[in-house]
Amino acid sequence: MREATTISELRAALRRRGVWGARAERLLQEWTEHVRDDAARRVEHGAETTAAEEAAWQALGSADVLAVSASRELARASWLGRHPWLGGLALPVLGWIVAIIAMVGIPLTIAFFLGWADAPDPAKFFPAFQCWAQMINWLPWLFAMAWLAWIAARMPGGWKLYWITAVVLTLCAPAVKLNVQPPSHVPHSGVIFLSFYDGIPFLISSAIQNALLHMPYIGPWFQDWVDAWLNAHQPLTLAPQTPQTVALIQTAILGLGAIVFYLKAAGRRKAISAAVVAGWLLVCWAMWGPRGLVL
Amino acid sequence: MKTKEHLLDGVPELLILRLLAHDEMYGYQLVSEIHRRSQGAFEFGEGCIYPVLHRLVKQRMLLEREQEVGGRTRRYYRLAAAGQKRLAELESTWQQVSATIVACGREVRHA
Repeated sequence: MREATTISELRAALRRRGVWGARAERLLQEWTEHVRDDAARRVEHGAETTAAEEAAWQALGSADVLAVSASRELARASWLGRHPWLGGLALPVLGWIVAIIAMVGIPLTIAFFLGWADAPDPAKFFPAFQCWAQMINWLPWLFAMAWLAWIAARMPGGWKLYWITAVVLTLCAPAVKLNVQPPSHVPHSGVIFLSFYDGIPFLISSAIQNALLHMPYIGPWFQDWVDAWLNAHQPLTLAPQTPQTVALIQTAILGLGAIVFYLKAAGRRKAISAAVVAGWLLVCWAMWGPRGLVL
Repeated sequence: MKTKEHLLDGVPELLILRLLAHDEMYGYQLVSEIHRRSQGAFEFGEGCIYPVLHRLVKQRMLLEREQEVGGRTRRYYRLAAAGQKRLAELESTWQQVSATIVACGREVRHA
């Protein structure tokens, strides 16, 4: 009983420290064998069996100490673990650069080889680019959810934490989005550009507008007011009109959230990497977002 | 001496490599030998030795083999060529550090 309980405690502690699967099972097996050997020796020296097992488990070390040791040695065994700056800072930035280049570069390369820009009827290539944009736009979200699931499986909060974080991230994160504006039947009329999802401002504005429009008494009055306003001004949206402002605010929220999260989770080094990634997002948006690439 | 002190960070690795330089051993035997030879000078959770062993195997400094003993599986470890090289490096570093500390102590006493 003591063995089963302690092994499951050790397994949980290892999982929390990021050691799981075959590595964890192998450690657990060796620790168990060690304790059995130690208990047998203690019994040979005259100890009572239960007391000997208890003493052997205590001599092995506490679950937390063992898990910390396992996690540290695991990190030391890998190249990235021995160079945490590269793993925490350089590689994420490099990954973002490659991802951004790939998002725009691949369709541009395809366009170049297909001769889309100079084709007499570029519109016929549009569906292919639209499919590409859809795929690219879903990938970051899918990766983010998979990454969250990977973390959630080991955290004490488990899947509750996963659902809460997934919803918050989905609502708040200004993910980069690849847009393809359809070309007309004239060369150089299609545009590929990056933008941010509207996220919370869009959802809030939609929710407020829909709620107001469907309320009894207030709904018709609001509709009249909207119509009057539309006649006098621009089309009504409660989201800010300038996408640059939205992008800046959302990037700032993302950066702040990332810094707080990483500070709590893994220390200053990862916080810096999160800030750099957020900054890089902003730079990418500033470079490509407003202008787009004319094909 | 508590092995969690930074000064003793590399000591378990050095002890393991040194003990395995002469004999093939399994985990419990290794821990018992450390206790016996150090006369209990190092206090650490006995289980902490195993992650170090696994790392050294992964870094190809140790070789391992499994053997059935009394219906149980024992994993024996022995030093590989890379481990011998690493042991020589660690011993050299340790001797330098030790000699420097002794020399510093001597200077202070003479001053």
